[in-house]
Amino acid sequence: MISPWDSGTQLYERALDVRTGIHETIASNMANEETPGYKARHLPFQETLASVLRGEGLLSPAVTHPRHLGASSEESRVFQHTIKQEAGAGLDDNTVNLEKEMTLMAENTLLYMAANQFLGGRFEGWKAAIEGGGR
Amino acid sequence: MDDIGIKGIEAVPEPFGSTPVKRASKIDQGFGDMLKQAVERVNEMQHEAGRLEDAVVKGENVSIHQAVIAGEKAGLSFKLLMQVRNKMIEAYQEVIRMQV
Amino acid sequence: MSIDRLFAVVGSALDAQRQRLNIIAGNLANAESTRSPNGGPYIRRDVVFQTTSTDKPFHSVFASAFGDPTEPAGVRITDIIQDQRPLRVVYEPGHPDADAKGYVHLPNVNPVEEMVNLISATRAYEANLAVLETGKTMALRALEMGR
Repeated sequence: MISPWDSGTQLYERALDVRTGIHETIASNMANEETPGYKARHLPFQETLASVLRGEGLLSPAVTHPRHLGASSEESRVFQHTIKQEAGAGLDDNTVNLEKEMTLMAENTLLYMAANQFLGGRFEGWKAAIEGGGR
Repeated sequence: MDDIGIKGIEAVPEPFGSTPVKRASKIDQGFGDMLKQAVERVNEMQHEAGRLEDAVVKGENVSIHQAVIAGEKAGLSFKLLMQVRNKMIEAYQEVIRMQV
Repeated sequence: MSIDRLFAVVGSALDAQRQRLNIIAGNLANAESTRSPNGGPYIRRDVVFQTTSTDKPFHSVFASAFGDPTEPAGVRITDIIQDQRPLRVVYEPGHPDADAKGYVHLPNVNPVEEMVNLISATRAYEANLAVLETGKTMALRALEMGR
């Protein structure tokens, strides 16, 4: 924790992080839709969020320290223990299902926007509280 | 309170970090010290936000939302500090104008 | 995730699918070509996709191909292969490239199959474009936060 606002934003911030991670796995799956042998990856949201909130490989200390920046993908490390690779073989041993990915993406994006908007609302509320105090 | 859209107000944390109770028990620490600490913390947060913004601009592995959030937080803290400052100056002027 | 990691993944996919489209176009265009620079009829071409790590796109292609699921995975075309299926043989004695018995060897290109591949490539291209578009919207929305 580096700022006094963190307790109010922590949940939303981590949710945004995980949603971004999910979007990245979807991008990887879509990119490899036709790659033989590629196994679809999935990041279960709740499980990942819970593990991040428990502080397993916290994101913020990683990026708040200059030495860590750009060194490696910290997020990847965080999501390591929850990422799943889909077993089983479809055609040419590839397990990507385009329709499923599209649906997941729509859902994920919507919930990202939701978290984003709620967080924005929180900031606005605080802003109003502070500015109202000036009068 | 949530239903009238000003949710989160009850969640406003102690403005500048450490617990006020503990500070009150320390007699040698005055209001000036507290203010100084606050200024330092706000400064720190703005540095942090600036660093994240730099990282995004430089194309380092930082997501945009992290930088934006850090910026928002630093902005809030700064605004809060400004309000405290304004109130203090007001109070000071009131004291100055007081008839003795 | 930084936005350019996403763009790298999607960009690699768009690139690969476009290359594939080019190959398909080449196959369709040459469906009847009985002469090629190497002599003999045109041979159908196909692409080989492979997963790549976007962080180190050039080395460790093999190491990270399927090994590390936590690295964002792009894709690239590693090879363009020639289809080994037999050529089509048509009896057409008047054809300038007909052999002594009057048979002409035509490319092993099946236009219907190519059309199917074409649709598949276009669909994949569009899907990846959608990922890019959504990622962009998410980032833009994040930028608007608190404004």
